[in-house]
Amino acid sequence: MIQMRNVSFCYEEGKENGVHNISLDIPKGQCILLTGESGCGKTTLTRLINGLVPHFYSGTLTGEVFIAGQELEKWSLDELSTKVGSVFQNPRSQFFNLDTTGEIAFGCENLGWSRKKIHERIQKTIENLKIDHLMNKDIFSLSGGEKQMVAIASGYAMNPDIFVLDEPSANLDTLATQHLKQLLSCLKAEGKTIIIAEHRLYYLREIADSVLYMKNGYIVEQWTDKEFSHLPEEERLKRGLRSYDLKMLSVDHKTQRPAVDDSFSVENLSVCYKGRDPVLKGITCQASTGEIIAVIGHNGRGKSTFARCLCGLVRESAGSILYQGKRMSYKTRSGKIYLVMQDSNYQLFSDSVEGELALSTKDENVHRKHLTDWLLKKLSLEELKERHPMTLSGGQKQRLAIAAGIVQDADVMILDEPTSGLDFENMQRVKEIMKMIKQEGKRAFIITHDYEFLLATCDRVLEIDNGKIKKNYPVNEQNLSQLQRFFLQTTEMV
Amino acid sequence: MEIIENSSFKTDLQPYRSLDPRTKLLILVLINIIIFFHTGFYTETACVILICAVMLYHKRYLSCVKIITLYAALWSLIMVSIRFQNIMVAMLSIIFILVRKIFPVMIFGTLLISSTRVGEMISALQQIRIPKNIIIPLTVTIRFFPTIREEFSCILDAMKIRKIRVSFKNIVFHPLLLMEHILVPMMLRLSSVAEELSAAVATRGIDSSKPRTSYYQLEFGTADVVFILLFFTLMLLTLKGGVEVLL
Repeated sequence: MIQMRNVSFCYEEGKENGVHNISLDIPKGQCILLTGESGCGKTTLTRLINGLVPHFYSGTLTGEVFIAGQELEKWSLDELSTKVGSVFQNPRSQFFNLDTTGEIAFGCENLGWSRKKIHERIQKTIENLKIDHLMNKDIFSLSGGEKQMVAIASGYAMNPDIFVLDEPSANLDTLATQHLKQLLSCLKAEGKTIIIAEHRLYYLREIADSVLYMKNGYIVEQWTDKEFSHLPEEERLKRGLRSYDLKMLSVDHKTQRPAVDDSFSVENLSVCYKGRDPVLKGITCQASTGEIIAVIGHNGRGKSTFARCLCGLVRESAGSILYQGKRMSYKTRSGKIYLVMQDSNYQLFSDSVEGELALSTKDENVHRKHLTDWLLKKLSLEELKERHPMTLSGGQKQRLAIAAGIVQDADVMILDEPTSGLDFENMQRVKEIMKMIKQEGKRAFIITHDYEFLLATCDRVLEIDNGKIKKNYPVNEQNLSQLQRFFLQTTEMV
Repeated sequence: MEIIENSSFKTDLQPYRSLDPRTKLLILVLINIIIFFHTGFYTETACVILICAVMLYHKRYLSCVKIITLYAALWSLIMVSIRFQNIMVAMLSIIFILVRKIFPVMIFGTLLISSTRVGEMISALQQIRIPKNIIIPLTVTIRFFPTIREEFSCILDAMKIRKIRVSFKNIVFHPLLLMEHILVPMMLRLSSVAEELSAAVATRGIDSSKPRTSYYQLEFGTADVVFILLFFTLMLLTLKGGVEVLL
């Protein structure tokens, strides 16, 4: 289906890394998993298949690429779109229409198909992918997972033989990732060829036929699904790859759990949006000094409202939040309880890394200067001091946003999906930062769907369901089975 | 049989009442003409009332009430402010008058965007033979409004967390800094959304040279004729000097 012979590509502007010397042969019906650290060339390789390279992103291409028997340069993008369906990482920016049905019809309309044919294709798409509940909806009302389903459906409607997905699970929770897995096996059963670039690997177990490991633009290693599952852990870690089998993971024994105190507590917190059912119904919990708490739960059950209320973005309708015995009002909370957003792009306002940290603090004394320097060093941002925040990589931006919170002297940090879209190395970095937050005597709530990360960093788990705390237990060996039930059973359930 | 029943689904769109996009576009043009030949209180009010009628037709009852209240408030503010002989107040009243002028266009524009699907808009524009290289940028612009709103609220949240306050004090004393803090992240975000979006659209055959078809069928009904006639009459009246002439 796809052949590449000694393909190299480098981008014109030289902003991004290209790929070098790629040769591969992907037969029809295969599922190929591309992995490797950020910037290793996975995305470029997917673009070579869907034609965005060289038709959309220009640069120099050498070697030969054949897609469905024809040379890539001879395909025009619109003809290729009937052969290759694409799904991108960010569900926010891949929809042209604002309603789901229109979006699924969109590609067919562009190709000038008759209304009858479009209708048939839409029917078939809904039937085969079982997405009738998503039709005729406003795109903005969908969750990230639902958006990715619509994205796949809109590619599917054009009936391509090949699907190319670039980090499709980056913004998805456990359950949505599961649905994605189902959908992919459904595509595979139909004999579609699938190419996926990913950091999160576990959900592709038994779907992927082979795994390609890329580094600096080269394909360095190649395994079959079986070989890859049997790859020893040290080997996997050496290459900076995430876990392929979550069942193998266990609790890290070495970390010391912090002593229990009640320096920060939430009492009977409720939130109610106007004219709707309450979203949070009486949440009570404590966070000790140096404690890292994982907040888990399925989407739309109150996790993010809890976070938004804690950091003063939503006003509580009842209950209170106490820090060292004193009540923190809605107004005083913002800034003292700091939120690291999932997309740290929003949180950076200044024109240099240093300026970003200076923005967080008014008084300029030696202590602050000291803290800033120390932080920059600790978060390996020191050499980037002068750089504009927007020129940093995703992981660097996130670290800068965390640093800003520390300089701002926030006592409680809330992190919203800190590991989404991060490669292994950056995940390790976030782990280090969490350790630092611990040592600084702060506390953190981490909203996460990342089982691997949770086991490695968190001390306690709060499970929120239907606006209440369903479970609250420390992360230890006795509770491992509970965690597995939450994260892994959903895996098997479907 | 039952299984088939269940797995079949409505591909007919949910019945919702809306004017034809072409009608809405035409009315928007007419409103612009009416406002451009600025006449007086009665003509403008008549125009706003007609717009409210369109809104009621679209079942936007709540926004209709909001608009009437806002419009009344604007007029009262103007009435009050022009009685003062203070420069600051005079400047304020100029702002109010400007807002009042663009008010009808703004509310109708909002209605147009919020009640028209992108696909419908494209096929409407195609039917009135607008060239494709105008349609695509135009629809992208329309598609961007909700995105801007979403991004904006995210940025406001982020500012609050970073203790950058959008307070009256900051608006008065540090307007430029505040603007920078809102606009810079906004522009950067939007430009990356724009790039990702155009890449996504390119893989969906937007460049196709074949004539585009449309899944949505447009129907030009009685309501369309009625509203066009109403606005057209008002425009003719405006050209003759406004509703005031009749009084």
